[in-house]
Amino acid sequence: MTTAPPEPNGKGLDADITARRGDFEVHAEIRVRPGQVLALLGPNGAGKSTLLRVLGGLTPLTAGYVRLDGRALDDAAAGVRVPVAERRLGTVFQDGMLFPHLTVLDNVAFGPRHAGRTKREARAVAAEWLERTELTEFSDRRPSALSGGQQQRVAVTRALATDPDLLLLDEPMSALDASAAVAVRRFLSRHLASVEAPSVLVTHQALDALELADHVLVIEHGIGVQEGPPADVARRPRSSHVAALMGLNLLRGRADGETVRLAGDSTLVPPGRADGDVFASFRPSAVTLYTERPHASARNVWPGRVDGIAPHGDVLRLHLDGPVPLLADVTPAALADLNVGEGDPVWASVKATEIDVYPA
Amino acid sequence: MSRTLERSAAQAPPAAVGRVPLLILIPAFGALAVLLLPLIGLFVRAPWSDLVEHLTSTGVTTALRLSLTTATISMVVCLILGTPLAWLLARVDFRGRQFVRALVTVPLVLPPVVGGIALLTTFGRAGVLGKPIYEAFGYQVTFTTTAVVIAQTFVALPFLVLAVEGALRSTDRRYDEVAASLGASRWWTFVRVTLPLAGPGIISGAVLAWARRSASSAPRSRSPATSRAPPARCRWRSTTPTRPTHPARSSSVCCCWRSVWGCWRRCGSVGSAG
Repeated sequence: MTTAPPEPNGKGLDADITARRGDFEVHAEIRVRPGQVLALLGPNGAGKSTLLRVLGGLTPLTAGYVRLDGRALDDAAAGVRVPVAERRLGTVFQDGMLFPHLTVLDNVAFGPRHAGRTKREARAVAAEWLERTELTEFSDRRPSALSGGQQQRVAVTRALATDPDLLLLDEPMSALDASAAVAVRRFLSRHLASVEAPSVLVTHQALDALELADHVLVIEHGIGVQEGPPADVARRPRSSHVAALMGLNLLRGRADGETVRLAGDSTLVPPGRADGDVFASFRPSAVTLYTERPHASARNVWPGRVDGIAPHGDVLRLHLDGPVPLLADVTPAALADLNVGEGDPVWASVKATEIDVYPA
Repeated sequence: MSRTLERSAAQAPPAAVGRVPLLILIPAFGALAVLLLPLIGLFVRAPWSDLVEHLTSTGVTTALRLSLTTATISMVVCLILGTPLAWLLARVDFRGRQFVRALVTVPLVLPPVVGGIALLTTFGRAGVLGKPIYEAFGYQVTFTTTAVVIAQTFVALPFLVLAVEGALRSTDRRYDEVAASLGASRWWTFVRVTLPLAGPGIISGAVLAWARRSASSAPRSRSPATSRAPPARCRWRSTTPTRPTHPARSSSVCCCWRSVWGCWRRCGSVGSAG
C-alpha cells in the first residue's frame, strides 16, 4: 500500500518501513509531501505507533529505508541510522510529556536551545511561538499547573518551535477528555496549516483524520489496508474497522451483473451493474425496519434479530444479528411504533439507490 | 476544580480500606523498638553533665572536623564518580551489566576487617598501587587524610550508586526520548533532563552516603591519634598481613559476592521484564 508519490525534486518524506512490534511485523510505505498531513489510522495495537517510532528514530527498522528531503535517515541495507537528536524532528506525544521541572517558556525553548541558540535567543524564539499560539499567559507556569488540553497545546507549540523537517504527532488527542480534545483538534487544524514540513499523525479516531489530514493510510494488523483522501476513505471503507469508525455498514461479496452474492447465501441488489469482488457500503439511516416481511419496492430485504440498542445522537442505533449483520438508525418514535426490543426478530430493507458498490 | 478534587481525595483518610491490622502493627513497632532501644541506652548513659566540655576539647573538635571534612570530600567524589556509573547501570544495556552491579555492592557486604585489608593491600606502602606510588613520588597513602577519604569513598560509593540508580530508574525514560527528539544530545539530556528529574533521589542518596561515612569514621575519632588512621582496624595487620588469613578472607569475599550477585541477577531480571 503506497501513499502519494513524492515530488520530483525529492522533497518530503519517503519511507518504506519493515519493523518488528512485539511478535508481529509492521510494514508500510509512507510518502508525504512538504506541508501535507498524513494520518495513520487504525485500531489500537495495529502498529501505527511503531511506524511513527521508526520515523522518529526511536525504533530500528528491520528492512527498508526512511528518506527525508532526499537525506537518508534510515537505510537497513546501507546500515544508516541517524540518531534521534540529529533528525530535526518535532514530536508531539500522547500525553504531552512536558518536562515537569521546566516552565512552559523553557519547555518551548528546549528545542531552539539545542539547535545551537543561546539561552536568551532560545527564549525569544519560544516567547514568539507562545504568542503565535496564544499561550503567552502560561509562559511562567509549570506544566503541572495546566490542564491536559493546555499542556497538549504547549506540547504542540514546543514541537513547532524546533522548526522541524518532519512533524510527528502520536495520538495527540487520545489522552484528553471530549471537550479538551475538540479544542486541541481545532488548535492543531489551525497551526498545522502553516507547517511547511511533512507531518504524520497517528490516530484511532476517524474524526482526527477527517479534520486534520490531507491523506489517510489505514493500518490493520501491521500493514496498510487502504489509503486515499480522508473523504474517499470515509465514504468507501475497505475494512470493517474503518467502516465502524465511519459509522457505515460494510458488506463484501461477489457480483455477477445484477446481483451481489454475500456470505451466508444472502444477496444484495446493487444500484447499477457490478462484477467481481465488491464492497457495498451504506449509512445506518438508510436501513428501514419492519416487523413482518415487507412487499414494498425495496428489493434488498434481510431477516435479523435485534442484538443491541444504544442512543446515537438524536436517534437510536440498533445492532442487528443475522445472515447479514447490520447497523440501523431509527428515531425513538419509530422504534416505539415498531414495538421491538432486544432479542426480537425484525426485517431490514435498504433501497438499492442508497448503496455504494465499489470493487474490492 | 478537578485539581482540588484530586488533592482532597488524596488527603482523605483511607477509611474505605479499613483499619491497619494488628498483625502488621505489632511487628512494625517491634522493628522500631529494635532500632531505637540501643539509641535510648546510649542517651541514658551519655555523660550529659560534662558533655559541652567533652565536645569542645581539642581532641574531639579535631576529630569531628576531620570526620566531617573527609566525609564531605568523599561525598563529592562519590557524586562525581558514582552518578555516571549509576546512569550507565540504569540507562545503557551493555553486556555484563548485572555483573557490574553485583561488583558495586561488594563493599556493602564485606566484613569491615576484610574491607580494611583490601584497602591496605592496595594502597598500603607495600600494596599493589601503594608501592609504585611510594617508589615514584615518595608519598605514602596510609595514615593520611587521603587514605580516610579513599576508605570512606570505598564504603559509601555503593550506597550512592544504588540510590541514584533507583532514582534514575524511577524517572520516566520517555523524557529522555522527548529530549532527544527535540534535538538534545545524550549528554545534554543527562544534564538538563535526567539529572534534574532524578534530583531528589540523587540528593537523598548523597545524604545517606554522607551520613554513612561520617558515622563510619566516628569510632576512629575518639583520639586525634587514631582518627588519623585510615581504617583503624587495618593497623593491626598493617605491615605484614599474615599469609594464612588471606585465602580465608578471599573465600569469604567470594561467598558474599556470589550471593549478592545471584540476588541481583534475580531482581534485575524481574525489573527488566517489567
